[in-house]
Amino acid sequence: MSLSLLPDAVRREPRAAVFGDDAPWRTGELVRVGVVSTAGLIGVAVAWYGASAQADWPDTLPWASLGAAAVTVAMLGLVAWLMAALRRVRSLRREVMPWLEAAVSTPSSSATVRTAPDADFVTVGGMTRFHQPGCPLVTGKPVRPLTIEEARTSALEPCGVCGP
Amino acid sequence: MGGFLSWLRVQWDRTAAVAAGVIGLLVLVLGWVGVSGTPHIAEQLPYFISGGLIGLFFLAMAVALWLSADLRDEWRELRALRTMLAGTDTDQATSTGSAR
Repeated sequence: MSLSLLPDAVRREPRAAVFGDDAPWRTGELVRVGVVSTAGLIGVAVAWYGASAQADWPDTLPWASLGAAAVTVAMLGLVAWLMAALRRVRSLRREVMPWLEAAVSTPSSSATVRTAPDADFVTVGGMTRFHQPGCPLVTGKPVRPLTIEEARTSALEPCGVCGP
Repeated sequence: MGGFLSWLRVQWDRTAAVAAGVIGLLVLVLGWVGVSGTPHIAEQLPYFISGGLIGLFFLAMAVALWLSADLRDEWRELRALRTMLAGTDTDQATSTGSAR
């Protein structure tokens, strides 16, 4: 899914510097990845120590094999880290896509525009946001026109879909 | 300067990815220097393990951190989109209710 077409309001959400609620990982996954990668790096250190103590090269080969296996384990930890995030992103995407498709596929009609031809923005009674006149979320609804000034001074928030 | 430090703090994962990439390349070069400095295979293999394998791990870590930063951003955008659409859904329900 390309996110480049998302409204600016969504892309501008501030990025926190810490994990916690602002990342797709849980603490358990973080700990697991840390343990696996550290174990792999310790294995590489042991392999290096063992290989350094050998005088003949055939004797160093088992240690080199251990090193290769250990670095593979450490990299598997990194792969697990990425897979955990990918799983969470896919799950969230599956949750959001039906809503997004429903919002976008609402047939647009010129009825709304005809209702408020000179309006800068529109809103509907009971809504907490104001919209562009052609926004699919207000299509077919009894819209109330708003000027830029009215929209700015009112308590209404801008729609995140049409981005007025 | 403050803005750059703030960017580094917020984009810590991308900063760490660049740092890991630089460290990985450095370790690989040091390993190569060590291996090329001796004709004996028994002396070369420890350099292969310490320089080659650890350098490779750091490069893999750089890639993983950069990809995870992208995934984290996508997750945040999707979460914001979900919050926004949930708000719109509430709006629509409210307006439908008031029209009845």
